[in-house]
Amino acid sequence: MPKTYSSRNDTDRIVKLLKESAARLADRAIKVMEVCGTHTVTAQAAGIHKLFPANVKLLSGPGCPVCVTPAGFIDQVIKLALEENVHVMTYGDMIRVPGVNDSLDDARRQGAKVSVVYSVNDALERARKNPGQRVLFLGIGFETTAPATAYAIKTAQKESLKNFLVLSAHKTIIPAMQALLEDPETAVDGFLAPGHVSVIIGSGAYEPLMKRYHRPCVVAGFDGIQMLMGLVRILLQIIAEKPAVENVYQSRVNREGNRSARELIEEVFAPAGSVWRGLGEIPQSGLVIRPEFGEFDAGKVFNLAQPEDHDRPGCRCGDVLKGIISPDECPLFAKACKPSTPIGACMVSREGSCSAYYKYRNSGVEI
Amino acid sequence: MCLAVAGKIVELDGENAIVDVQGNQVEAITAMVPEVKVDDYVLLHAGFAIATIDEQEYLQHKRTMEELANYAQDLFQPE
Amino acid sequence: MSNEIKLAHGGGGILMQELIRENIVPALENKSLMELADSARLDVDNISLAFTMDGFVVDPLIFPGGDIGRLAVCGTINDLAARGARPLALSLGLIIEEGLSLEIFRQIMDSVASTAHEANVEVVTGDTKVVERGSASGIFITTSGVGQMRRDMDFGPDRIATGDVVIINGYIGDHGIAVMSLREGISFVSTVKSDVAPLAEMVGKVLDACGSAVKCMKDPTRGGLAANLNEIAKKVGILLEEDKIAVRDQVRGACDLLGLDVLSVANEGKMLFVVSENEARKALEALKAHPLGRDAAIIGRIDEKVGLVRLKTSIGGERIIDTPYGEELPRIC
Repeated sequence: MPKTYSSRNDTDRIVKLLKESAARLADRAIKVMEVCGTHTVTAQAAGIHKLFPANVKLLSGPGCPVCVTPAGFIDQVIKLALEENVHVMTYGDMIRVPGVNDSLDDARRQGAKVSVVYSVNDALERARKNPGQRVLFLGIGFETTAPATAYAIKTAQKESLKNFLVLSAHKTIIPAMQALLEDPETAVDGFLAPGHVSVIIGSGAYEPLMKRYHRPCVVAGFDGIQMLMGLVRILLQIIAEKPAVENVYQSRVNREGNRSARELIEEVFAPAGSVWRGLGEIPQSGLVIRPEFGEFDAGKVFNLAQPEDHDRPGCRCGDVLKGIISPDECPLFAKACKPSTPIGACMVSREGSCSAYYKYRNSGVEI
Repeated sequence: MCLAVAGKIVELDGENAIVDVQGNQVEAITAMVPEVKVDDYVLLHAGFAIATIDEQEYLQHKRTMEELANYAQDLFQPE
Repeated sequence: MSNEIKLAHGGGGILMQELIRENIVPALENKSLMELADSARLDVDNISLAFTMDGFVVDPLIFPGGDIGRLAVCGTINDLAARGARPLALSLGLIIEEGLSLEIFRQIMDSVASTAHEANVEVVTGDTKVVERGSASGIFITTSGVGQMRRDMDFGPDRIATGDVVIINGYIGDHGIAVMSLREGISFVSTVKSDVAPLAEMVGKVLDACGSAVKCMKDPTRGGLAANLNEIAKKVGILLEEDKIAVRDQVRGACDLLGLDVLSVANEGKMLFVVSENEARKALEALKAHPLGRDAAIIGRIDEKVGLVRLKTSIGGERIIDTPYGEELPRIC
């Protein structure tokens, strides 16, 4: 394995730098946003919020692809499972997310065939082994995961796997970041960019957007030290008044990204508008399967409309996702809306801001 | 988004690889990193290798730490 | 609560607790049951007995390091051990699915026998049923056990006090990962073996050395450390240290691969001990002298943040460990 590198020494150094940089900006509250569910989980798992100076906050943006999938998508899938006898195969993340009423987990109880898989290849294999059974793979995730789905669709075409179908809910991150930045109310001083999405799209992908909006944007990887390093870099940019796109995850991310992966995406998918739960419709932010692969597109085969969102009145996820309010300022927080009875995107999975906030609210650690 | 781990390619047959992640062996497709060979380290995500990793990536980490410290030094004199 | 039992109600986490609290306890109400301890205490004349049972519905039936037979015996023995009891006898209930291979059945029975022998206890009674194909996944086993408690010694969360330490006898996550690698849709090959083992003898050694300085014991099975420590943290707080918790590289790698939290992964050969600080060293020595306790370590401490189980992370941060919702599922996003 690549030799592990970080030591307690490193952490102490970086936390010190974080404190000193924050002290130089002591007159302001700095809000940095990460847009990656795995960054949210890493930040919590490593417990880094406890190490932050008082004026630095890390917000969770719309980086959890499962959370931002409209509730209507789940209902569409459940309907297909129960009425069309497809075997739904999905990443584990999706299984407990409720649609308007039920989740896929609930549907399983009602007799739907639903399985969790680690890889789309498992779904392909099932389609190969059971030619009489239609397999429906749920294409969820950002640019890190889309190439895998694209590869699977191409493989299905090559092997004439007529029973392999994909329902795409893939989204791309930059249009969402743009939508956030276009809203004058969005209160974000800088972005921690998602490390593995950046492996695919390259750190250069953020440059046009940041050139327009002049915010720091630093690519970071997925451990506590990486996130702290990214934060320090952002603070240093703010102090120097030189916002830029930079990268502390250089061992795995470069400016160009992975061309083979991007070509896979472009060959199989086309950008289209899509609805983000909590944010509404964002142009060019979704990936739809191209007509030449239409026979594998469940949306086409079953004639499905774009899934709708059904957020309840009072839900203020949009404002939480933009950093305008904190979770406890939403009237539904901890009352009607809790992790066991989630209403909006931010509470729906453990990666959402509200679900994290709920967990920590009594602990003395500020999230 | 998104979970990926480092692993070492222990078998390779066309685009089909077996990647070893701390002693666990997983199947992976190498279509996105066509240049890999056995014994290379890759970043594995959902059954696909999405990047190659330099075995000495800890050296890059050290460099980045130094850069940060030096930049901070230039901007202000931390004690 | 939903109006239907879900699979997640069996996951050992929040939903299961809800099911027990709202539907089972109110129906049965009695002093012993109300403790909701791993074993019930029965006082008969001047003997105290521990009485427990467990049901095993595991799939796959056979896994690296063991099988459902061994699991069934160890599960019940370990629940008795958690109350400081010496196992006296076990019963064995078998619900067999029509079509189960006789060879597999014999293997399972051999495991029951050899594990009981290893633990110095006998299966003295049982029951056998066969159900139609499709009604059970191969075989369901229930075991119940009775054991003799130590005179004037009882163990439970109520005895825990600030300043006590938390000890575990070795590596965590082995069982859950060993079993997961064989499940459908999770295609990875691992050489991790389940840690399933009978712990009564090992626990006996700790109690011989420390007696009532041991306050509470729990075997962190379903739900792992996360669920089980939360269960005993009703009136106290627990602060764990990530650096002190031993995890095999392979187990960590598998958890990283699947996005699982190793603290929520099941163990079947582990016992958590909450011990007075001043006897902790003796407890550790007793454990390390036993083959099943060689890698024992102090992993945390009791404090006053009532109801909160926290982890001091290896980078010096802090995180809250929740009771898991249901069973852990692999994630990718």
